[in-house]
Amino acid sequence: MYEVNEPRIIHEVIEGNAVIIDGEKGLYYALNPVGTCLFSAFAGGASPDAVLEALSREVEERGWDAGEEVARFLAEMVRREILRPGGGGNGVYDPALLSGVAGEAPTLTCFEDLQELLLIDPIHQVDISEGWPVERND
Amino acid sequence: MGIPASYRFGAHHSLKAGHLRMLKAIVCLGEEGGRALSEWEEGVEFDEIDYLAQTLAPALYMAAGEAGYEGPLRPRLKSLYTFFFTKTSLLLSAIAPVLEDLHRQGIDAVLMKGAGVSAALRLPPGRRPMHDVDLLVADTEAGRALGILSARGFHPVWKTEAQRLYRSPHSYDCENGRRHRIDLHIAALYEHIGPGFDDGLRARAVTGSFLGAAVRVPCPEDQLLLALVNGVRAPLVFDETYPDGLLWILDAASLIRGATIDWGLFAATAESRGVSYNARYALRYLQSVDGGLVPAGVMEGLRENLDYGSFYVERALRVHTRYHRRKRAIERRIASGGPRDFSPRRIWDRHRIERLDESFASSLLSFPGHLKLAWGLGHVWQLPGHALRLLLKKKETRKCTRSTNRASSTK
Repeated sequence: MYEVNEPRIIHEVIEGNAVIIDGEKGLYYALNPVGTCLFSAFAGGASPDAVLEALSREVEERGWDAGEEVARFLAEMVRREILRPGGGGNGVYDPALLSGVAGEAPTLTCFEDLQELLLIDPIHQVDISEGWPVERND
Repeated sequence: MGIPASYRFGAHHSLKAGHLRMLKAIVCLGEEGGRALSEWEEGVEFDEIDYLAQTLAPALYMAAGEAGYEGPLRPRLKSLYTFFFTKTSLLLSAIAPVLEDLHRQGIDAVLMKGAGVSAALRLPPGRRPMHDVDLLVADTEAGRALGILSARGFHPVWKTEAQRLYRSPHSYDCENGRRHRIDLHIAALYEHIGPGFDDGLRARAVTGSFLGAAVRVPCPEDQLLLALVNGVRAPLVFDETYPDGLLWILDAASLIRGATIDWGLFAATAESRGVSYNARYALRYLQSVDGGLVPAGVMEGLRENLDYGSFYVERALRVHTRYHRRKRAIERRIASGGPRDFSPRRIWDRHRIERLDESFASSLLSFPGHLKLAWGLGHVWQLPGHALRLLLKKKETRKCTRSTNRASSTK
């Protein structure tokens, strides 16, 4: 079982994508929808086996290997000290969270310099469809 | 001595239309909220919204989401929400170890204002942007608390005690290297400082949740009073024409909606602290947003005018006359010279206006350094030479002007 490394890590799901802040290291992480489901499951107290079991009940049309990807994703979350072993999570894990999980394999994008990111004007300098912190191309 | 216009009862600065629409869209329920959202969307030039409106955007994003809004401005509101979520999360994350240390050392710290309301109502960090976190400790514990803050990298921003007493007599504003701020209060209100004045607030404090940890926060009635009195300080004390923030209106509305307010206790506390008029003045803003927020009879229980004998007014007037009168006089001189005026006199004015709370002697001592920067010189010892060159240049210009004038008058 795993739990979120609080209070250092603060997270929120915004329109289906988790945003994770590492306050100590000043890092900003963005998860894709599948990564968000997995992270929410682990943060809620699900074990890796429970996550795999829930995923294996789904149709195998993902194009990625659940066992491999879940292990890789979890290892990455632990390596980056977002999740830590032990504890029972926040106890709100619901297997239904993982039902119908489809789409791209879980990804975690890291923006490294938060102080620099905060200099990006969230109104005038961002890609309107993506929003802050993705800067406009021009 | 004249009393500023805003002290006279009846003076009230209405909210700007754009701000009012945003606040209504967030606070008002049902049809009225939906209508305000549509009006705001139609009338807003999003690229031009001011900072006060930007701080309301996260709450509007949440309210709009709950109302099922899918309009074109949703991604732009989301952008601001994510930005403020990140900024506030970083601040809260830096504060959490300080709270832990204070708790471990047995110092009773009460979380106030924005962070206090968020902790009491368990609001997500993104909803309520924060620039600092306000903590209240007993004045007898201030020294120890400052030591703990200092060990965590938070140091007072005012260089001298005199500066602090002038600017913020009720708190120690501390900042760390990442520009995160803690306002360590020894009194909950600027308007009401004295031994034992916050004992009631402390005794009534309840438990809230800060990043999953239990913290002490004022009871809803005290939180509401703090939000209101802090919210209208700019127009009431500093004679500004508009509140310097609008988030307090959201805080107050969230408290009224999310907690049960004992309005009798609220009015009695406001009266005993000498801020009954301030509360009434602030509640009028709330009424302008949503008439249903303040129950009937509450306004009647609050003072219609300031208690002129109170310590607060006396000090406010003193600050007003000494600080603002001098500031305005200097501002007038600066305006007459224009921004490109680099004469020593105008540079002195600009220097002095930034240091009005310091003594004349102290300003004088730091002036050479300021002058050096303004004139773009490398060393202070270059100042006399540069000043002499300016003087000669000025004399030369005068001479030229005089001879031109003489020539034209002879013609």
